[in-house]
Amino acid sequence: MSIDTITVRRPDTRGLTAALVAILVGLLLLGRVGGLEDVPAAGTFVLIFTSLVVEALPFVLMGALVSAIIEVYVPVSWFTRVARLPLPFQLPAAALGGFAFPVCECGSVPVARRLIAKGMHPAAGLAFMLASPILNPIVLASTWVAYSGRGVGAEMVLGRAGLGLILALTAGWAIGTEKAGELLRPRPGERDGSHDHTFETSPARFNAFTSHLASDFFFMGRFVVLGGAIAALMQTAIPQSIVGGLAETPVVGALALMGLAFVLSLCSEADAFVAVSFVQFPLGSQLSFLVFGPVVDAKLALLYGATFRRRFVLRLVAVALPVTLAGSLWFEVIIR
Amino acid sequence: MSNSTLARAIVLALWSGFFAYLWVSNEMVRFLGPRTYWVVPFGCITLGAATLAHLVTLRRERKSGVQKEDGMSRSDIIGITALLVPIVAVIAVPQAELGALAVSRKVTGAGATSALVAPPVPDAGRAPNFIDVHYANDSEEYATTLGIGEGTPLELTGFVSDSNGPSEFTLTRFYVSCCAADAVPYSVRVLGGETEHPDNTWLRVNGVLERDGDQFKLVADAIEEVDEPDSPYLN
Repeated sequence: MSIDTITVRRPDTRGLTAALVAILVGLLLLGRVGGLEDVPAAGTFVLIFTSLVVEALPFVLMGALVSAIIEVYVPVSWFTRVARLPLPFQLPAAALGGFAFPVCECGSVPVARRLIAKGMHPAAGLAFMLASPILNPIVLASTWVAYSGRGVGAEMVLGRAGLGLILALTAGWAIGTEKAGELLRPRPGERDGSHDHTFETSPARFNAFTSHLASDFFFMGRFVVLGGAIAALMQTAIPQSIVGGLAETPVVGALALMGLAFVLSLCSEADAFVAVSFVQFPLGSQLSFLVFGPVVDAKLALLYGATFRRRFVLRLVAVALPVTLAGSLWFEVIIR
Repeated sequence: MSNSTLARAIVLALWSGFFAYLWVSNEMVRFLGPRTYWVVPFGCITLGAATLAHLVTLRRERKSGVQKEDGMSRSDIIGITALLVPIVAVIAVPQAELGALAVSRKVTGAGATSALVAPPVPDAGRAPNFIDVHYANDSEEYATTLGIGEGTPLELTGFVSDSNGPSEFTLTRFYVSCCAADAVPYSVRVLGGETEHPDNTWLRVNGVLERDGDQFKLVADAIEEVDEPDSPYLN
């Protein structure tokens, strides 16, 4: 059998590989021989870090799976038809699509990226990405369960869904004005997704599917790991009580809880159970935690940085912070 | 054979195996709360399926005669290594747990433990736990429904989180909803005892409740050191 060989010249990576292997082995030795496991801070860090990754990784895989299906099996013509719709229709339709996509924020980023690359308007893609972690049915149900005992389950669900939708639409409209190529950060070796790939056989299509699946999973996975490490480090090092004294003033309280949401990087399906524990903060401030966290947190900031071009995170914060703050203050006035 | 595809398949297989280990050994109860246990078998199966898909692709590449002899890019190497870090961390620190340090970091209020959620529906048919005592502090009605009051006998199992000598310490247990990152500590002050127990020691305390201001405290009749329970968090 003759073998065709495709040779791609890569830079010499033996040094990098050796260094990374040495770090992993060093970490192992530090733990098992160096007594790291007897240090309480190390145990706390490892448990929080690993639990964040264990919880997030299957969702990242699901996001990568949907992204690969979109790339390989959904024809570009479908997206072209959607893209022809006027933006005022496309934007809310995409945001409300979050109701039908029950994954948390880690899964929605690769899907949104693929939708935009395939031709969906960037504003609509961003609206979907920002809305789905807040609007999906599991998140709203957990919010209701968390707050129902305090007699405000329905109010918090409506507040969260309403403010989350407003934030997704506003941020999508404000940030998604650029073309896909100007918004998305290109990845090495990735082809333009705005054209259908031609596959002569179904095995070839399957190979392309697994390749895209793995590419997205490993690309997003590394940022989930890094973000999880940063969140775990901050949870281990910074006492949450430092925000307790800021609860009195609604504006300061809301800002404090938004900062805490960024630091904690909780999954949106669990954050309501933590938010409701901030009993010293008004409900409006707790709502800001529930809306800001799924849109901007430490782990997402890294994912966004790898997915979108420069300054995306700053622009998103510039929109998300005032919208969330204003919305949470209004909520406080209405519910009081 | 593509080196990067093979390496990715190996890492996917490792993660699938790690999820299988968490599932079979029941170690998942240390990392996750009951609401998200399903993630572990789900992750095991889906990551296993992704591994198989990769192996099928590799086999087809070989059979088709188109073989990539590519070295791995820096990006591939960093991504693959990053995904190995959590597994290595668990092997390096196998007894990682949330203890007294985590309690000190996670307390949000003015001193005491945080309120969880909604108070659970009082169930007079079961023995009161840390959460019940917490809500009984705030609600007379809740306390009455569960029969919690002065002189109520109680047995609690938790770890020492704030040792203040042998005669007074705090006993704590975490409640986890989704994962350890959202753990909320519930604590009860314990009075009595003759032996000082260092932080993070697991104890079973039998005693009676006594009001001290607006808080219930547990006056110990018997204190026994025990192993960490199979399920360390409150359900």
